[in-house]
Amino acid sequence: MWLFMVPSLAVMTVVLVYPLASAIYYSFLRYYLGGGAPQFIGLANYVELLGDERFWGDLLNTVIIVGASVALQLVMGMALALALYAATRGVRLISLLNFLPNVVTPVVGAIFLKWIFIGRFGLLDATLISLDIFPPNWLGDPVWAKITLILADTWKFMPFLMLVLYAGLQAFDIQLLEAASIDGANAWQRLRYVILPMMKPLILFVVSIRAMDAFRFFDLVYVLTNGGPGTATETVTLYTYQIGFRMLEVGKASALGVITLIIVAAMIAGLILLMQRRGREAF
Amino acid sequence: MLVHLMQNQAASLILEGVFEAFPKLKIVLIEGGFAWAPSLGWRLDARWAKIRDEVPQAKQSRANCAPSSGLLGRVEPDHRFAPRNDRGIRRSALLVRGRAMTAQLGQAADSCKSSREKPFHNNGNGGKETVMPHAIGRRHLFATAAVGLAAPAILRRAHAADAAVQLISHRYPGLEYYADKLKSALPNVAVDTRLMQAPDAIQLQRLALSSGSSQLDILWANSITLASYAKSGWLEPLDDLWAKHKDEFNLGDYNQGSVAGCSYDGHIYGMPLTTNTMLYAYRSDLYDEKGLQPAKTWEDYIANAKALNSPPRRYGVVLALKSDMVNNEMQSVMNTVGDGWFDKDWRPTFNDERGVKAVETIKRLAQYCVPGFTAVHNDEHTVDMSQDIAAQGQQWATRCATMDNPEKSRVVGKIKWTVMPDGGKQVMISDTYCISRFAGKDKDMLFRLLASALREENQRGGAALMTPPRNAVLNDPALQAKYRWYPAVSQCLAIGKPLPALAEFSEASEIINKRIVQAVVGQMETKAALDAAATEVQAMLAQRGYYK
Repeated sequence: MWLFMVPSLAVMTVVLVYPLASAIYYSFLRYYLGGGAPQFIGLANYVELLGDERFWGDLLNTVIIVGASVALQLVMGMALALALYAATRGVRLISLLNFLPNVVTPVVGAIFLKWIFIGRFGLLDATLISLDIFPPNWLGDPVWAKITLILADTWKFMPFLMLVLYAGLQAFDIQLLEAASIDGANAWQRLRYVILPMMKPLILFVVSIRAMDAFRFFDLVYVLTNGGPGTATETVTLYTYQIGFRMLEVGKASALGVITLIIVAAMIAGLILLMQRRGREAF
Repeated sequence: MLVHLMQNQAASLILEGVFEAFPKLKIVLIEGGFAWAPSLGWRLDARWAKIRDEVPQAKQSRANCAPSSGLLGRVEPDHRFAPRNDRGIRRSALLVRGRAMTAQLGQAADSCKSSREKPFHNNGNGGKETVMPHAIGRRHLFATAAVGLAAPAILRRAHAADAAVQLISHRYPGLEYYADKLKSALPNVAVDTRLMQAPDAIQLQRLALSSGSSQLDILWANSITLASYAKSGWLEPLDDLWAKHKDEFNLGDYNQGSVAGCSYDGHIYGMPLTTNTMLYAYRSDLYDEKGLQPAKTWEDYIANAKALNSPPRRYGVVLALKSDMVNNEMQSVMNTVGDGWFDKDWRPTFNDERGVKAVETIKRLAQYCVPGFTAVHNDEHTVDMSQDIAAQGQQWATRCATMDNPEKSRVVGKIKWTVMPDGGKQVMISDTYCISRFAGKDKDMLFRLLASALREENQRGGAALMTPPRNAVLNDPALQAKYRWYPAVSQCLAIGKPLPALAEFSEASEIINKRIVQAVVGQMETKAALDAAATEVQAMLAQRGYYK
């Protein structure tokens, strides 16, 4: 059996274990790419980062953007999945059209969005102005820039949630709904007391997958705002990129990467525990 | 329905182990046809791996037979058992018994001569060979053939890419022009050009250079990146090659200011492309309409922006405060209202009282600016001016030609250019082509490639797109008359000021620019933002060995 695992283990060693080990090793170094030999400095990079208010600000930004966008995606995805479930005609076409944003390459999607949201001559501004509506400063105002990113992320990834939840609904035992109807439950009661409790494990699963993914939020924010204005939309991954590729501080960037890994791992562990606990309760 | 019933019976007999218990038993199924038998056999074969655990009765078969061959039972046509119809012709009958099923199903298939059953055949070895290995074999064959056919093309492409000279460059019309000229500069020398926005180009260059990659041969650099790369030892010093080819390419014709902009620590590291600077661009028609004059002070500049601001139709001013454009836009105000970025010991001065006033000036100006200015770079800035969205702004000399291009501009002939207020001291930056120290190609050939692409004839052709560094072209009266912005460019070059000659300015400006934008959009109080930037920059420079 071990022999079968050799190819995948070899690939994992090259693309996962080695880079991870290197990142952990580099995180203990003062390593400036612009010159000078790397120098061992122990935990100094970690101490510096944990005392850096920009890091904590970026972490807060990440949590706000991830939390809001995943919540919005869940509500909209669930609503659309239920609509598709109830629809009798054109389901395939509607689901296909809805899924298109998720298929588009992230950076290409982000460039589309930029030309929609860009000030004054963007598609959205031009449309609103032609209707005599004064548009907000989508990308230039600290609050609106966050909202724009949340909307952009929702546009891109909501279809994924919709599709998974719709697939979950397909497997749903229709007899339960019929029984609820016979017992006099209205549509809301059927949703609240029958569909949602049955869908709970799937919802928890899909939300955790999305949250982990969203924590690595980079391409959309890089293209749309580059973390700006100032640091209003700067996420932890973007800060890592700034330190690593702009400031050329490989050691510090590696330390931030390791910190991010620990945070995401803790998040996953929490969600797995939650799922296991829920599993024992059998929902 | 009947067929389904027959299949059920046959499957049940085989899978539930009847023939395990009674190996000699024969069961005849009549009046059910037999065309379904091959497909049943195929399904049982295909499903055996998955269903074997559900059919524990079929122990003997499981123990004796390879799963893929599915030797579970035997179904064969045997018309001896079939009853005759009323005209005396026998109807179909199937014999089901133990032993190798697949082979016998193959016989059934042959018997019924149906194309659907043809894949099953009897190879005479007890049914141990089924159709599946053949199908896979064909797929393998196709895949192997495809890879074989594609390989030469892939290898040729890889080889071609390897042979071509590799350029990574920023992209604007002038650089696009010279990238094109590089491709035909020398016979039999292919050039692969990769053009992108400055931050992306710089990032790629740094990755290639810091890893000592031989895949990057020539690169666009500006005064800032040139100093940084040269200090790191990533660029080839060109002094010897310059002297060697001076006469061949008339290199003495380059103006000394441009050559100085391509030098670091007394050595030439680049071939001058242009010395770019920012001009004060304004809509002369709108200024005339409102009776305004080009601003002499920053306060006038703000007043003009306010007077011409009519959102959402048109805004008073355009700014681009994304990444490196922050220090370019700020250079003039920081040097005139403020005291500049650093003192002579590289200690920050941008956060002193006058520095705070400079940033506050831009903050007041930003009230009249096209929205989203923190997320835009040069391209969007150019669109704002050329599409009648902004009334004034700082504009790179390399972008002036677009304003008079009827295909790209709605304001042809309406824009005028002059020097920035309060004595200018606006950004002045040399753009240059350099040779990587790690280039995999012959350095002499690379130098000749650059010198040839930048010969006088080509510089004349590109004179509309960027200020030429050759005196013979720059001082040509015919060209000065042809391009309306040339006089303003000359004035600006006389009073402009290069960005600080700090090799780490690129990294320092990453810190400073973020903080300045935080102050401009009101995310932080101006003094606090600049003080934070000063502290961070000093810490960074101290780590790099300054202030000892």
